Amino acid sequence: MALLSIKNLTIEFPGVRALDNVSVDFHKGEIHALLGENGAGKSTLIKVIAGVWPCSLYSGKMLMDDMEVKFHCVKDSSDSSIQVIYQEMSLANNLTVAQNIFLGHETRSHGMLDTVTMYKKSQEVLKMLGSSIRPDTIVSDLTIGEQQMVEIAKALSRKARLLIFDEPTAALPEDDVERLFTLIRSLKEKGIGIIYISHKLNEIRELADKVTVLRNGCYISQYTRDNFDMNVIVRDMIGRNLDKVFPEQKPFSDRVLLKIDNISLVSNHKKIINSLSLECRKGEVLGIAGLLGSGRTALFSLIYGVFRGEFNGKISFDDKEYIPENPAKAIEKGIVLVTEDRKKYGLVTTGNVKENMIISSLEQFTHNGVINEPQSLRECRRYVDRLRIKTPSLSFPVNNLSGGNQQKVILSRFLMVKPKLILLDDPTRGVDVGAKQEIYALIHQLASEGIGIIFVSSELPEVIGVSHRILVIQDGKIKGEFNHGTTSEEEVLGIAAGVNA
Amino acid sequence: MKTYLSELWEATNKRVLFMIFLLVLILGVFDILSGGYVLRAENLANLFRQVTVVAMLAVGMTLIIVLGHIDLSVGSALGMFGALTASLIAHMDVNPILAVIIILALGFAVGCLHGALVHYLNIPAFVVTLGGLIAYRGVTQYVARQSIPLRIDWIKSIAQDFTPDYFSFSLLALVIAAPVAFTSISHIRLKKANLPFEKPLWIDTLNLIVFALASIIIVLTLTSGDGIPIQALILLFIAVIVGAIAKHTPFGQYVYAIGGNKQAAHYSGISIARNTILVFGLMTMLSAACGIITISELSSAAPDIGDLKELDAIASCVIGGASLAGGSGAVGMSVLGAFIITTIRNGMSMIGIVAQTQKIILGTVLVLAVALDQWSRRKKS
Repeated sequence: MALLSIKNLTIEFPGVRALDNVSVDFHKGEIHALLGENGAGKSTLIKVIAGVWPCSLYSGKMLMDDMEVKFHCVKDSSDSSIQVIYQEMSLANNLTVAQNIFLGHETRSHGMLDTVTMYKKSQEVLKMLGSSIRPDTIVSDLTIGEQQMVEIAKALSRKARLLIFDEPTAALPEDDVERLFTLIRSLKEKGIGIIYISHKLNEIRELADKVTVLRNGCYISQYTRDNFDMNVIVRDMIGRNLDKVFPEQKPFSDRVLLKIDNISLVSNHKKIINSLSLECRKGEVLGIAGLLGSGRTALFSLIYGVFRGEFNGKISFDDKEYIPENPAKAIEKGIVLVTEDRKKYGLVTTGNVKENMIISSLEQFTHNGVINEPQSLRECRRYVDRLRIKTPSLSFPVNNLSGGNQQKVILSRFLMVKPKLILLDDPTRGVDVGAKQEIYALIHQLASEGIGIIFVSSELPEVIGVSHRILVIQDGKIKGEFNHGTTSEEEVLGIAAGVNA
Repeated sequence: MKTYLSELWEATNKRVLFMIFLLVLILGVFDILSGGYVLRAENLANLFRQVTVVAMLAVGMTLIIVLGHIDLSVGSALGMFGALTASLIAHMDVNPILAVIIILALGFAVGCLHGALVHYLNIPAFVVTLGGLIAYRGVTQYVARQSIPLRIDWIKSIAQDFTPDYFSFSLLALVIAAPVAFTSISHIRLKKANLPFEKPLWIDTLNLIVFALASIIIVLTLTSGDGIPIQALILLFIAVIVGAIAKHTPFGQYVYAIGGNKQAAHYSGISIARNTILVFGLMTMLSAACGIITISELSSAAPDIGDLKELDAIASCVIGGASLAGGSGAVGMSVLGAFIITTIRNGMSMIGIVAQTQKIILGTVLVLAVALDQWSRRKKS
């Protein structure tokens, strides 16, 4: 008997059929991975199960223990012991751990909040998860890994028979990932059903008992652990064979574009970067590998003029001294930054595709103070075609696009300013396999046009596969340098983690 | 036929349609209740004169709200600059034209100061302009502690005169011809660039015909009385210019982007400081302009002019669908919102509803309008 069984689920939104006659069973004590590209329908399916999309929106049935259930809202599904741990943390940062864990179902005695009981119960749940977080800590003081732990504790403090993890490792430092996996396995041992969503196939291989592949809202295939073949699964996901993930390397010039000389950064009395020097040449793809907090993001912030703190050292760009001030100045010089957090620093979420694409290059399209509509539209179309952005129209709300397409919209925005140097901070985060490959190809195409590219990623195979040259950064210092093809994942990770420096 | 209708329905902006429908409904109901008085030429002219100040403030307020801020000082600023204008002319014998220029420049400067305080010192706009609301009212009451009479005819004519017929009809021709010309040019250019039209040609044509008919009816009604109030021309001019700035210039686009996501706008190379200061500058300059119109209307400056006008302006924007969270709103819609508020007020006066009751009804309408709007949005998504 399936714990939760989805039967012939179809759901339509204006312009798209997000799920098309999908049937799938989830069992207790099983880690069931949902795979598919962005827009394949995974998130929609999760939202249906979690009651975010009410039952009035779809056709088809949902059964729990063979009894039909209908969720009108998130509370309904939560009351039926289905809990979701979302990719973007849904904790109230200003409240304590215990307050968050009991948010919405606080324990009361005589009508007043029973803080003592809630504190004790929080402590119990956290202890069960093997965590030593104090329940009275304010959430914003916790690391991302710890916040996720609280999120899981919150889910478990309610009745949980089915736990859904929506890309739980997307924002997680490497060393926390293993801890999370151990935890998920122990939850499985307790008989809880797990639905696991991730773009990282190696995680799926390590963790999942069963895999269901969705594509364009349709059920494609299902595999159990003993017949996992990643090549077949990827082919199912993107609908074609993925022959070469990383494009061929093209030669680059010797002209130095960006030269960073002995810089140090201090923020809040903490040394973030310590006498670091590097060079990036025209047409070069320079990869930077490093763990979260190694200083890689701070380095980009500095170059782009958004770093808040003290800075020492010299930067020259295009043979001239360059003092970063603000993004406007960086863009004017030809430096752009694609940040890791699209929602926060990238998308104008109230705007449409076109508005988001042209916002940095409006001056180009402006004649006598007025924006030339046809010219800007034509330019947008060119990029939609070039980057293969899947959107119904240019006036489509950017918020409704899938992650990969949103990322491409932001890439277009910065390509339109005709940059000389592109800083890419984890550009494939939350992006599916097919779109990833397209982004790699684009990086090399841009490099072959003479643009310098500095590329940071939390996925090591990516940095190693894409870059001409790889720098390993640890504790704000460069600890290793390799040319393409002369290193391995283990070697880089070892240096990044400070094991064999 | 059916497919044409459904295509038309698809292409129609439901919000605009709803607002116009509401406005026509309100006008119709009050016209019947007042025994055909509301739609008469003289009352229609009155309506236009009553709406000008609120609508002009709503135009500026739209940009403020889109940017994600609020400006509570506009009513008091209107009073202060009105009183100062009157004082400059009546007490200091400054040339009236010079006085108007000085006041507009001063209004812009004061607004820029608001923007600078908001941006650089990180004081919420609510607080900065609440301070303005209180302080500028004080200045108004000080400068105009005794009502300052205005004796110069042309200043009074700004608000009290009407256009002669030949001018009204030329204007009518322009109001009809200009959108036709713009639509044609945009269609030709899109076609040349081989880009799809946003709407089919016939729908645009239909819209233009409806708009032209409405303009003809309004102008014919007004010219059967005294003519078009000069104030209405000023409003038309300001609304068209600011509306165009919002839609078709980088500055306008930046305002929407900043309101939508300030961080993203900053990372896209947009200067938050410059645009914030400009928007606040424009707002207070419009308040100053409204101050001049108000003293011209009253032929004098009194200590209470412009009182509570900020609330009318904000209400107009909200009824017009602007989101107080920033990022969305439209100048034209806020002007429609101002018309709705003013029409209700005007109509209620015509049928003899007392001021106290009027306030209760208006407050209710405001909340109902937004509730209805939210409900329809939720239904759509």
